[in-house]
Amino acid sequence: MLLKPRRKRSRKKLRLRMILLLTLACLLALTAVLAPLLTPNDPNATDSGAMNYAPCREYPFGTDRYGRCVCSRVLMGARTSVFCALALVVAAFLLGSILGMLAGYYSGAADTLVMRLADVLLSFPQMVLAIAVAGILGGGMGNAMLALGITSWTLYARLARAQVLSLRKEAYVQAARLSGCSTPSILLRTMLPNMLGPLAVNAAAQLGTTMVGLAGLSFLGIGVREPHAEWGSMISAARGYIQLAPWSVLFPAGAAVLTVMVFNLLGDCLRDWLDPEAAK
Amino acid sequence: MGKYILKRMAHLIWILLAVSFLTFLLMYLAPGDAAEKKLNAQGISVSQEVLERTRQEMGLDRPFLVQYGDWLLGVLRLDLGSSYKDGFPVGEKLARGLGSTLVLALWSLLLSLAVALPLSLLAALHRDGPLDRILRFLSFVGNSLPGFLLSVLLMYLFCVRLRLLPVLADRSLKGLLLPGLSLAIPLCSRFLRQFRAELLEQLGRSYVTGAVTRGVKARYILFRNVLRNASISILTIVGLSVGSLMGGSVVIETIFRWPGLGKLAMDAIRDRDLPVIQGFVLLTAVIYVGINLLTDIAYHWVDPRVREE
Amino acid sequence: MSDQTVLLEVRDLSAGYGGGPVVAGISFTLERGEILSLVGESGCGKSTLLRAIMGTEPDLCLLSGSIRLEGTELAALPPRERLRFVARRCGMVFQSPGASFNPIRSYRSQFIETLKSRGKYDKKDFLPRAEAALLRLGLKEPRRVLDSCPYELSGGMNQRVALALALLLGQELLLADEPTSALDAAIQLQAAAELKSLGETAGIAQIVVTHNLALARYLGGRIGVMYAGRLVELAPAGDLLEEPRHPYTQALLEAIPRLDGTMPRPLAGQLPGEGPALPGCPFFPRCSRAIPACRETPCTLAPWKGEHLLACCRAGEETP
Repeated sequence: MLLKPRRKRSRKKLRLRMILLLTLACLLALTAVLAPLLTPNDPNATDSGAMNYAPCREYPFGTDRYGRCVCSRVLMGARTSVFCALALVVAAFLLGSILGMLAGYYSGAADTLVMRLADVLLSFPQMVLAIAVAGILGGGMGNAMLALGITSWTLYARLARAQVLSLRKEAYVQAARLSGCSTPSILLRTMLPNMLGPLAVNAAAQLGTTMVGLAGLSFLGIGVREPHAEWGSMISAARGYIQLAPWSVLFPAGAAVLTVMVFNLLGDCLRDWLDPEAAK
Repeated sequence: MGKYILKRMAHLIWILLAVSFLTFLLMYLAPGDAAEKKLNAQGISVSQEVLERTRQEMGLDRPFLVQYGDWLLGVLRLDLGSSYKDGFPVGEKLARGLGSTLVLALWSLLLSLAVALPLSLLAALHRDGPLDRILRFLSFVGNSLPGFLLSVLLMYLFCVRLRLLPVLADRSLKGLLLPGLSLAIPLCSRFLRQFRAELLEQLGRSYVTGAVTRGVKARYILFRNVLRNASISILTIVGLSVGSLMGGSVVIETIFRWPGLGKLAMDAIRDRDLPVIQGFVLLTAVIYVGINLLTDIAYHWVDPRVREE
Repeated sequence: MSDQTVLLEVRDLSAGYGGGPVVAGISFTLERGEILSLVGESGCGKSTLLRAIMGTEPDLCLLSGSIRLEGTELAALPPRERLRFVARRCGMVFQSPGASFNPIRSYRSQFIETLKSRGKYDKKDFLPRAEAALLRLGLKEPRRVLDSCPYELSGGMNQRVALALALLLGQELLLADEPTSALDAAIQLQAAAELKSLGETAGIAQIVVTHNLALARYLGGRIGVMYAGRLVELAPAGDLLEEPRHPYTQALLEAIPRLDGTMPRPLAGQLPGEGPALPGCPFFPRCSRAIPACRETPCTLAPWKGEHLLACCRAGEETP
């Protein structure tokens, strides 16, 4: 009586949403790939005669304080943000899952080592550690990615290990073992397909967070450096003269928020899809 | 219960040791020569001779483990070294920043809880109703807004367009409003989402049906049972959120020039002032670990099932 | 108030979750202090019938018919009021004992808040009355039980606490859903004895849903046999078990394993799935005595002999 009955969500609707979001994500990725071809102007060309132009036909999103085309820079920024986030998540996913699987399968000293390392890394607030590492290493996108990656792999390692530990008891895994399958074959053929779902859900959810983290580091000046185009650093650079040229903040901001939203929605959708029970 | 706390304390000591080691290692591995950084930070021109002398003074010629042990002994005596830049003891600098950061963090935390708790309860009770949908949408948007972006937008709106608030934060209520909101909005969005899920979980449990069939008043069911049982998870969620709160406050403090730990850390990063960065990382980790220990203990205190184990 | 002795009167009740009816055409009356056991295969709708009477599930709706509790028509009450009305008179005992209580709060506080909600709490009076109720159900240390949380007690003890609360609340009807099936075999009998004594000495009427015919026989009172959402036979326990008339009841009795070594005869076929119901007898496809008329002729529960009610179009004929 206290809890209203749950509205039945049709799987068909979910699939439609999934397709829509995947299309959007693909469009974003495509924009990132084709950015150099799509830019209306040279993203790095400064023009002292065209400073702080409001959006017009030649500069669809206006220009910044150096007369650079904001639209071109937002497009190039998509490349940086999407690529770097994707690369970092994929790397963390691979490294973390492999470490976690090995730790779970062999247990013993290797397991203790990996899991204790993860424990210690998770004792630092993630963003604090990332800021410190990126700051000490002196910025740059590579260092910023490294700084975020130091902790992000632990998520997959813990998950993969827990999955391996529970799957190890399953009859079909025991059967594969008794029938003489080699360890890599058991891990890859028998176990991996069963844990890919939860791992993928987490990876999709992490894409948005990673993008926000990278943009945050760039915003603080310890990620991507000017004049390289990236949304976080563009917002940071332009916020000082926001009253003169609000467009040079608002457009990269809009692009960042939209992209993060698409990735977050995709993560939620994937979770609902793979784990209908958890959907609430 | 006592045994559990002891066990957790032992674990805590182990974790803190590892944390301190990692922090020290991080600074040790920092590119460039520490002595050179110190001299640069002080603006002293570097000659080979001065450099050598400074290296010896700082003990940089000793083996790594000896340096670590020395530093750790200092840390245990609350001596975190002194700033490269102005020679001030790092501990004092941090202590001064900590107060400001606590004000900001607590204010945002309380704000988020005050908004998220009642709203998540309403949303859970009216699942899929109009209010739930609106809140779900808002919390999704809030979850997708990075804190730095939010503060820039809020600043633009309130300080530049509406001219309602000062651009730089001071300790007045007005000054605290924008940085507090910038921290609280993403936090509150996450709370809303997680609290709602937990409350729905509790509302679906059979003890709720049982109480309803016994004719227990909704007020009792919600406040004495559902909220009480949910508080166990809510505590954990809040404890874990302290990490992102501290990370977020670095960004927000830098933007609003709030004289807290985060701004101190960013200034230190700019000046390559390693001892201050080191102290900052160590302090936040200690706070984070400590708070999570406290929530764990509170968890055991609220849930008698775990208490007995 | 129609008749002082009639507590619950269900007439031609149909109920379901959104789609078609899960239970249909149910009619029976229950007198004060009487025990009615509902038996049948899993999925025959016996639990749904209980929930339809209780009205706690928002997505379970009454499609037609009437439920009168103490002469008040429940279907006419708005949901909230209906729940309050029913909760004042009926208690529910669930399959997993203790699951209806918050596992991490003491029974004392949960008893108190239940009593308070119903305006029956009296601070001075509470402890002796609660202890008396617990003692009456054979709980030797009532004080300790009151201060325990459900998770700390065994299944059997939780069951007795739930019954004690019903006693304390002075409830007139107990709806029990598989009250013994989650208990160990050794304490099932004890739990059954408590249910029975609640009926005999405290005058609490009960509807007990079970798939355990031995329990139904032990409880005495009447037994209702359900099949595919319908009541097919309803009679005093002795009559029904001695002289089952409906082919389904007969098949059900033959499917029980016995200790004397005769093999049980399983019933062939399955319960009809979802979809349009047949106009005739729902048991027709599995019935060994079916005649073509059974497919078309709807059969309703009607007196066969005295209190023995039967829904079978071959009721009048002698068993071959």
